[in-house]
Amino acid sequence: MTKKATPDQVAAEWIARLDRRKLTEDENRLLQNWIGADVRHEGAFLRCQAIWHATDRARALRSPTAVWNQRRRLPSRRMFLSTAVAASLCAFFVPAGTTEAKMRYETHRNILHTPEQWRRKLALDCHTRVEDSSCDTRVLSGRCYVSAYDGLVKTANLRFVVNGSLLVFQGQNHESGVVVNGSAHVWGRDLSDPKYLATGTRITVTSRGTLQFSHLDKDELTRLIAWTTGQVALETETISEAADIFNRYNKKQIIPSFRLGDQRLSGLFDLNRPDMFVQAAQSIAGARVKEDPLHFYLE
Amino acid sequence: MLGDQHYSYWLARHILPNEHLVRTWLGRFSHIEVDDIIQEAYVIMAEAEIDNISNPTAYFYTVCRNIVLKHYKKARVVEIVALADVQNDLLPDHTPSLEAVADARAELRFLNSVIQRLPERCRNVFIDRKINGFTQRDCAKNLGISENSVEKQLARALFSISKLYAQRDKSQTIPIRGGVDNDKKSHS
Repeated sequence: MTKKATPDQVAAEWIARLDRRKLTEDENRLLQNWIGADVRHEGAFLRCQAIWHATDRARALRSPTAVWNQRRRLPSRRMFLSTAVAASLCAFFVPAGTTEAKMRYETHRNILHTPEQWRRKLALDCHTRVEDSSCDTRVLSGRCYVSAYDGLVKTANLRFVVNGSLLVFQGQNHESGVVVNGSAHVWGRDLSDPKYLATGTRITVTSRGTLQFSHLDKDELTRLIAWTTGQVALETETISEAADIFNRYNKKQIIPSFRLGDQRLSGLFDLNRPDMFVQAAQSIAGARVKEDPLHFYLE
Repeated sequence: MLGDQHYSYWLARHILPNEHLVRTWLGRFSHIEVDDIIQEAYVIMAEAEIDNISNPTAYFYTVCRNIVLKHYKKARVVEIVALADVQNDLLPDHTPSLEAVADARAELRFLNSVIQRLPERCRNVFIDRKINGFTQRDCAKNLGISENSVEKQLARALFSISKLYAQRDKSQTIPIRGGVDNDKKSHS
């Protein structure tokens, strides 16, 4: 490393080296000796490390309007491997397309948890399409749970910078985002300046294009994200509505009769176990059950 | 706490963006090297129980003030009046304004301006690595330079950015509670 350089310069050189590869034993010893030689060295190293992490925010600058020197490249081995890992998590995962800087995810009846990439983790609900790149996550349709540090998340009309976890919904006529953990800033639509969203705050763009803000309590937040662990917390839903939820995730469909449809059944159920829900309907609501390979008929 | 990413992200998020304010405040005291105080403060803060720190900026000021006091007490040549200045000085009003809290884009604007000020080669490497998210090896391939060059340019970019963080908004002043005389250096 550079001799007679300032501690800030030497620290920058070490951080760049650490980013390039793992240090050899000799290098590691040199670094430890340098750090231990003076408290200012240690401080410079910590500060430089913080600057390195602070500049991660610059990823948010990479938007279609920013003119960075972007070039299309063939998929790298690293990207290929991460794609393979993601695909192995779920048989229904469709890598619709990959480039060096962009991943497209699409789910059908499944829930997909992506491996951590660009310091973001995503959970896609069923029937969801998301484009994830090094600079942002675009939710094209469906529901996505994003955990990120300074991650940029976009829907059709809104832009979020997330520090924590955000549940985003993009429907045909409306869209919403709710901060489940941490905080976020949002802008877009009529918000020219970023608005701070604390945990529990939900912003909705209604079908008429107006913005609505509401606050959800902890229990409601837990209920909203139950699907990320493959569960559904039924509380106010009718059996018809509950059947619709299960039918989105499972090939074998639940068909309730008109008589049962309006009754309510609360509880926590596994989304991929419609048979358990049917059993509950049978024992609690007195449903008579008939089934074939593709249907449960509740009467 | 070296290598502890949790601490490093905390420093990046709460301390670094306010460092220029603390530097400005430290600039009023004589017989100290601001860089030294700041570096020592990072070491102390990286060993703190950060989960219990409700106001990181206030904590940053307090840590720096204590280090300055320690330096003055050690350096016997310092006039007694300088020591009294630190002991009696009122800390700035470090409560962030609502605008400062809400405007996350200010950080991005700052980073954008910082990146634009980097030398071209340095900037290209930095953009490929930090914005486009490539590895240093891929940066080297894309830019047609060696990996060693990428590493050096990246270190250069990082050093330049660290200087710009220190000099950020030099003109920005912070309100002082109690109207203490700002020109403390005139005592020395």
